[in-house]
Amino acid sequence: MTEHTGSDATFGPLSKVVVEDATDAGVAGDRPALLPALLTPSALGLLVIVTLAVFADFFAPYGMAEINPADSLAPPSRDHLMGTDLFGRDVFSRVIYGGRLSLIIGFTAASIAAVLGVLMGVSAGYFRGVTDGVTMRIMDILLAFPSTLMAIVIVAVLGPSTINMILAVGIASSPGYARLVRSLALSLRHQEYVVAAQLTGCRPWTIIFRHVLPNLRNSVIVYATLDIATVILIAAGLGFLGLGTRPPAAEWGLMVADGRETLEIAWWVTFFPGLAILLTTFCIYSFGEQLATVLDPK
Amino acid sequence: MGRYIVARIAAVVPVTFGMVLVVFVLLNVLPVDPIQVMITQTGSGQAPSAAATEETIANIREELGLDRPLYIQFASYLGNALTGDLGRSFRSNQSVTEMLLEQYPHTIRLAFAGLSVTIVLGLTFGILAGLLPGSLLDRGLVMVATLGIATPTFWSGLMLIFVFAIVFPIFPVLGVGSVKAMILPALTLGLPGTAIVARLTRSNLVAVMQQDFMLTARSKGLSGRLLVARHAMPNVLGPVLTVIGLQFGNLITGTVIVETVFSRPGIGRLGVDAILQSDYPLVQGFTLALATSYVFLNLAVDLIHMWVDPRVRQL
Repeated sequence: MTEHTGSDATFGPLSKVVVEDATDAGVAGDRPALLPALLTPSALGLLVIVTLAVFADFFAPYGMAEINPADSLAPPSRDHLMGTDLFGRDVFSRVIYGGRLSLIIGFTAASIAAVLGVLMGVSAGYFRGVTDGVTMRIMDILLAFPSTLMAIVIVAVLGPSTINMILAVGIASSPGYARLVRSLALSLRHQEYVVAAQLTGCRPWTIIFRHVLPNLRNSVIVYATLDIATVILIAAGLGFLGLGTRPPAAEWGLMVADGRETLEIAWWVTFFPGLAILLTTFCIYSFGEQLATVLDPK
Repeated sequence: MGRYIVARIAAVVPVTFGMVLVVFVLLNVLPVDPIQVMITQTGSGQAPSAAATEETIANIREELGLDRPLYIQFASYLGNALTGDLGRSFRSNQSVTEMLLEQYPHTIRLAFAGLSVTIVLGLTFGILAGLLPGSLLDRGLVMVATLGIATPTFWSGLMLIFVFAIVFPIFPVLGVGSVKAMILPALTLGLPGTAIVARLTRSNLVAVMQQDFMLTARSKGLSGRLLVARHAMPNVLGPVLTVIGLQFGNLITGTVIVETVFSRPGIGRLGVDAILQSDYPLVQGFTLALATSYVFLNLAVDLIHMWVDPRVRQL
């Protein structure tokens, strides 16, 4: 919370001084050591999941779409840790590759939602007036749609595909950020350092990027962490319904749907991809809550 | 209080109008030409026939009013929607309103069954854990609650089918109508909400039990059950009701997934099929049906909240 460098270089020296003063006064340096507090089982689990996903090519014993009809629906064994699906594809390998896709989807969609939502929320909360009224009315309407339904509608418009699903889930999740950021920005705009920056003649967006957003960072990080899990769940749901990633790509929701036909004779095709979703979202949620207590956003 | 009710009901109108507008705009800036979809997809999806000449296309366009400016199209869509006419399905040429009304009762029944699961199980576990803070049950609850939120509905549904319908054939795998066939879908739909409600009930109850008025009530010699029912619960239920209201969104979209998992009829199935077949009037109707249900359910929750908690009435 104390570093403010690295954003934009277009700001005058005066504002820099003001910010540093403000942060020193506001958030004192008695922050608990970050790393040890975050080294929880869920964080480690998350680390394992991310590592597996990033180095999928290295860890997956078989190719993502390696078909082997002779091995169709083989139960879990030493050769195939999680068994094989109808086409004889190794479920373990596909779960790992699916993890890569799910994490990319979750991270990208949450980033889109965060950028859209933060921009809307901060401009509504900082400028108030017409901007606020218009933005919040739009948000009210968007919030009137459950985000999964909104995502379904956007996919209906754009057509089912991975990219469209990311866009859909990203847009559909943005109102949540907007609401959070607006309420925080409302309380920040009367802070002395913001008023001081206004008096020194800083342009509004300079103030927003330099003085308001850095103070929202922790709250947004916590919200976004939890949101990644939600996004992964929504995306997997769309995949399951056939409204997301198209076969033969390995995506967890899609894999669960694939296994549905053969559930009676081969539970493992459905069980493991779903378990992967559950473990991932569980770790993210627990980690997010841990993050919330450590960063203590108001 | 009367004024509050009127204001709250009036607030529904702009939101509903906005939703109609959003859905309409979204589906009319389509990168796809609806006429092309109609020609290629009516008649069980065979290839476009040679008969689809420029003239035919122009005729259909005029017939559907698609040659008119968008705002006029919207006005007429809105006007028709108010009289209950949501257009005709591209695919079956049936009235969208009729198709939705036919499926709606199935979805409503499922949603209420799921809601009952959420309320009954959520409150039960929440109260038990809240009365015994620190107990095994209490500590287990936090863990299970996070698990419940993290579990994808479509997967827990399939796992319930596998365990309770295939391995131990207690419940039918599929089927509609009987109460028995409703249990697994209702559980699947209601469990994520159960986790949230249980957690919130627990933390609120723990907080309320430490209040001074609880001590007073206890010192008057009230028995445990009466103490909780009369003095603690009214203070716990307000926020819990709000959260149950927030769960409606998940509940409604949950029905889409549960209907697919259990192959049950309903609006969700209808809508997903419509999307996969690019049947836009039906998609439009499906979205509106679910979104307005959501808005009105929340209205109902607010009114109930007002009835339970007198403080809200003064707003």
